[in-house]
Amino acid sequence: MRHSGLISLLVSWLVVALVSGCSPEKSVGLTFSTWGSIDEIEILKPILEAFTRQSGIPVELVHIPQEYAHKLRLMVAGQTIPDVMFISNEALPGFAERGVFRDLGPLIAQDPAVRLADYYQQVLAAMTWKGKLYGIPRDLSNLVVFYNKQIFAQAKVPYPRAGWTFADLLRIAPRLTKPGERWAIGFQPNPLVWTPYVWSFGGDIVAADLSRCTLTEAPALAGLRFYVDLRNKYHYAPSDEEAGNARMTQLFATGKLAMFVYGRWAVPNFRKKITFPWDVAPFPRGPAGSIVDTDASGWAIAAASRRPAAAWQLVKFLGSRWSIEQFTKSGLIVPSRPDVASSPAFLANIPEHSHVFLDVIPQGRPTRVPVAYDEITWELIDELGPAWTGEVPIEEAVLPLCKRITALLREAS
Amino acid sequence: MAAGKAAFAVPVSTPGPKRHPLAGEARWAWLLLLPALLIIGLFSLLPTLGSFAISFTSWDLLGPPRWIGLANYTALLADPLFYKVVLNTLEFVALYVIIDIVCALGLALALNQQLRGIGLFRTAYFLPVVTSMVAVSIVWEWIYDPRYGALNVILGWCHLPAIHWLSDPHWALPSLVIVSVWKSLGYNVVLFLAGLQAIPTEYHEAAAVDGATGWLRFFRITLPLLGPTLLLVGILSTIRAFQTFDAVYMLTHGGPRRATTVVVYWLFQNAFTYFKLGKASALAYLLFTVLLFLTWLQWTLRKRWIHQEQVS
Repeated sequence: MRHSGLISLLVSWLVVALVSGCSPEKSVGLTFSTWGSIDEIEILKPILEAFTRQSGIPVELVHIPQEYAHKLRLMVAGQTIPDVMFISNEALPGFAERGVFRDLGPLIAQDPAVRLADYYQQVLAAMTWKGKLYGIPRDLSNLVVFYNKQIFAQAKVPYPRAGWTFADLLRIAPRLTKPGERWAIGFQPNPLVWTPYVWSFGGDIVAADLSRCTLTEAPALAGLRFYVDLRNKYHYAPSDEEAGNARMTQLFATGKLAMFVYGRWAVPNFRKKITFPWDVAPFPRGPAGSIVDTDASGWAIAAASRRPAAAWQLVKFLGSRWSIEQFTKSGLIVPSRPDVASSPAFLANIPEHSHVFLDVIPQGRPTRVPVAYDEITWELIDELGPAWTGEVPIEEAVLPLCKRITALLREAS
Repeated sequence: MAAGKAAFAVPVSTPGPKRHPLAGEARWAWLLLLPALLIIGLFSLLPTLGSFAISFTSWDLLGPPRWIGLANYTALLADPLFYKVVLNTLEFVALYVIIDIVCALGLALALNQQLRGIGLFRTAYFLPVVTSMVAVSIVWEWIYDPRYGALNVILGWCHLPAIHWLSDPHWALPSLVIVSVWKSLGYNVVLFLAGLQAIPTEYHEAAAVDGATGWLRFFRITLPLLGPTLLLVGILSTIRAFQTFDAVYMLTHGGPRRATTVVVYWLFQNAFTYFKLGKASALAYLLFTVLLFLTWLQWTLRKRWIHQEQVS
């Protein structure tokens, strides 16, 4: 008898343990996922609170600071996808292609409160996949040249201005460089940063129809050659040993770089940490112009959401002028709305020439995102490594790389 | 392993009431095993079988898996990168296991002395084992830094050229081996120390009386009697080396130029970066086949290597 008592205790313990793990979660309101630093979340929270006050709909924030798109995919597989998701244009096609997001077109058509004309056309294009809009954009991300005004003044070099060229860059760089100590321009192996060199020379990484790699073609090679020469031939950019483990943002913030190519998201930190005067200028012009990316991120609704009407209310609220202004004031984003971009929320604080971020929009283009984007990006970073350090000529490094990328593109199609 | 048998041993029947003794005990045994069986079944066995099924599909997690038969396996075997990854892995395993065993044995011999404060040294060598690999990697990333890192500074003192430890395709893999050996050395030292202390001192005394030198005693007495420990350390190190992931993830991300992409890291990339679940599962089963073969080989050869195997 003693035994059976113990057995029933054990069994009931097991049942409780199993059932408590399986009970369905009670839905309290909308779930909303986003990435971003703690500072960004601090901006977001009051916005979500304002939404709940206004609509009576509680929002549960799912903060995923790292590996966001990967985690989201696992949530899709586990059928725990949030109602509303913050998404970048790089990650959008993979999800949109599989019907994870709701097509916002019909919702917008029925809702007079949302006017697409309130947003930059380029950002709407970046949030569109195969003719359908899947996200209300929050921001536009592009690249400009950040420069240290103090170094320019000391070297008696005029600041870079709209229309300046690659030839101008080569002309002023020696005066801005002090070997081993200070460099004219930053160097990053990240494709995001060197793609503008390729584009501005008239080349591209992949063909427009995403069928093959085009890095072996003459214009692309000219752009890559120019970029790699900045470092290995002229030494205007720091080598890996010179930079050590320091990132270009750190080198710039400590006054060791006269210029570097980067995006708006560095601004809040620079405002807090940098003591010398600094500003931004457009990327220099090449034979094909001055072309940088116009990427974007915005809010999408899960096709599987059980509360699409409430989700649409939240997305509308997040995309409203007031909400976008809150994000813009911190300096973190280039707003997706021209009305906010032309307001003091964007233009009032440093950098002085913030409008440069807006001026370069018309010539910008979104990053081409094939299905195998993550794998191709990895190959671009890894295979070009020896070319960036000068061990292998760039013309040689792109041959196996391009072959591999073309194979990945074919495999995906 | 062998110890598993002992764990399952049930005391031979005890005199008691008239009901069938085994029925009662078997019921109890199964009941007590149930939690463990459930956990292993749900979280180990089921996923293992599931991933075998997935290896015959194309699946990106977003849609339903699509049956493609053996295509993942044939594609892997036709991919030159697969062979590079396999070669990298074998190179890592060979370097790691050899260096690890030689260093651990050497250290164990040194630490097997009756000296004051020897406990301090034993603790010091065991510390990395209980330290997180992520923390270890961050420290080593600085040690390996080409400009400011301690290693290159020391090379500089000896007028040797600086080495790009993690960014030179020739050095990256050996660099990872060094970190991994340093991290796990203490564990094997403990195993070897236990093995050394199990060797009766009479053998050494008798040999010394007969005039055998230290080296001779090491090769003729210590090494043969350490056979079972060597086998254990060899198998454990080999398995650990095949599974290496965290150091690659933290220090090199499989680069430069795929020089440090080992099987498990590539598997992770395929599964959770490129979301090719089918290809990743196929890779896992190819790795499983290799590991199975190697373990079989080690067990078959043990009779030749080991002079005295005590049944535990």
